[in-house]
Amino acid sequence: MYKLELPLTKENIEELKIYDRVLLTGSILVGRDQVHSRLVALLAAGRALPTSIAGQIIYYMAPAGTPPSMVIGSCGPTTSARMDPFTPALMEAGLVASIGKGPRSQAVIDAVKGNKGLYFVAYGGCGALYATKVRAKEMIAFEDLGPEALMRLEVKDFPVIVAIDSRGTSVF
Amino acid sequence: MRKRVGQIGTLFGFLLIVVFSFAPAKTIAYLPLKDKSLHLLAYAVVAFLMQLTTGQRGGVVFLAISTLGALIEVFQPLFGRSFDFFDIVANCVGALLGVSLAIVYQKLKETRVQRGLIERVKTTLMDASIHLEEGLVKQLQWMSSETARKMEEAPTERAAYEASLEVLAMIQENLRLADVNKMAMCQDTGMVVAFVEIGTAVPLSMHAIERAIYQGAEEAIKEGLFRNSVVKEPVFARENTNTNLPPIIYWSPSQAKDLKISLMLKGFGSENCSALAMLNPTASQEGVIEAVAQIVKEAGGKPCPPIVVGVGLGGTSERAALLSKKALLREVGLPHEEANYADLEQKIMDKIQTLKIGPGGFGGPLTALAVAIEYEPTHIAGLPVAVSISCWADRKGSFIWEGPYV
Repeated sequence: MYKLELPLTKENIEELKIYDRVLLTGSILVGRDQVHSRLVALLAAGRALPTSIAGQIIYYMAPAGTPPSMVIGSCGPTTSARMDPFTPALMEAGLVASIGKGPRSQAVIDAVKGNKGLYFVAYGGCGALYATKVRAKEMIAFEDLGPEALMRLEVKDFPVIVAIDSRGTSVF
Repeated sequence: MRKRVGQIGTLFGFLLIVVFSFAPAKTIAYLPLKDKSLHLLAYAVVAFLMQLTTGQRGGVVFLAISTLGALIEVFQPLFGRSFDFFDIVANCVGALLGVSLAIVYQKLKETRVQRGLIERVKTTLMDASIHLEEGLVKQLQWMSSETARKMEEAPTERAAYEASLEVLAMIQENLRLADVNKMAMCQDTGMVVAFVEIGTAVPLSMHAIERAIYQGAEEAIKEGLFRNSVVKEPVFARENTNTNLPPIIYWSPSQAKDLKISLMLKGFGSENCSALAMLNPTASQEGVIEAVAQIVKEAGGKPCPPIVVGVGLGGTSERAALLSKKALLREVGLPHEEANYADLEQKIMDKIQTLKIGPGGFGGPLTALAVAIEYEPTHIAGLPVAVSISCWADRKGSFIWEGPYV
């Protein structure tokens, strides 16, 4: 079990192996289908992104409504495979890791290996649990997407498992 | 029953009016109320009962009774009684009063029934988003203990099995937190799918039931803090409806007496893995097992395993798909009532376990929590096989509405 502060260092990344359980503390970006489509379009057009993704981790998620006295509602991961077409481009542009659930394509495995990054899986369906690990949330861009907007979360002891490590070894 | 009583009452009331209208004046002289008040009261009562029992529009009932009353008045002189225009007026006022009161009563009754039904839909959906059925919780626990046991026999796969156990442990912890914090266990609160079985003694219209389901779903979605996961149209702008509506509703008449509504929250990580295979009619069990296994294998770790699998067999292609959803309504752990289909369910489940997808897709020894089959007659030339996959958060609930209807 690793307890790691974000952003991840090169050493952190190289040290992690598949099946390693990690508790992440720090800042992560949140975005899924539409956000990915838009970010990659901006990259392709050579335009600036709404926020820097260099060294960042992105979590594939869109939350349910926020209960009173909580920071965020149920917020478990969505299926990563839908983001496969976009992940290599984002990793080329500096994204270091993604958090989702389920398998990734070979192109993503290659991108993770080529960019010395990682792919973590979060525990699918465990939205209530993850809600208790979020200390703060901030809207960054694409508010028109409602729950699918680009956000930033401050998380503490956010539990994930390494599914693809920096050597390109995959659990799937 | 109530309707029969009302019909008899209407007829009886009408006969009484006829008798008292045509009886000689002397015999009715003893009646307590003033003549016009009696007219009004009698016609009001009959109109009230007739409006409630005939289901005709208020205007039609009013006209019918007023016309009959006028005719009686016209024929009264033939029986030695007198024609009085103001008797007709009193009759009409009575009829109007009776019909109006009946309509108000019906509206109040409908509102009370509607509210009751809406509440049941709402609480069923909210509860489903937070709690799993007992049988499913037990199956998750079984999967943990069985995986731990198998881990002893497969030392080379320790990492995968440990990850599987971790996933199952997190699921249990998640269920605990969902319960404690009264919040949705998973953020994908899904699309609302309803199966309505209308019994033989249900006086509600489909429109009224549909309104109740919409309203109940809307309230559950708001109060339960569900996520708005529905878009208006699937291809172009895909604009969010911002209500998580509409619900998807299926209707069937049933031989039971009462109304039964079954509800499920269908998340789309798993729904995206659902599929259809049109097999040859000679495919038999082996073909079915293989077809289902292929679909589950293709899904892999994407539908948030461990999974619950609904299989629809027979009908036409879309009917098989519907049956596969109906199969997901089955109580987890309850086999098909026919032995050979129950056996086929078990065979499919055993085959799925050999795929070793496991919780979270980490390669654990167990993947399926349950398999249910629903079948219907089909064409001689085919064997439609539809599979609806549900993630472990197989959220559903149902209730039987016995009234009140008054």
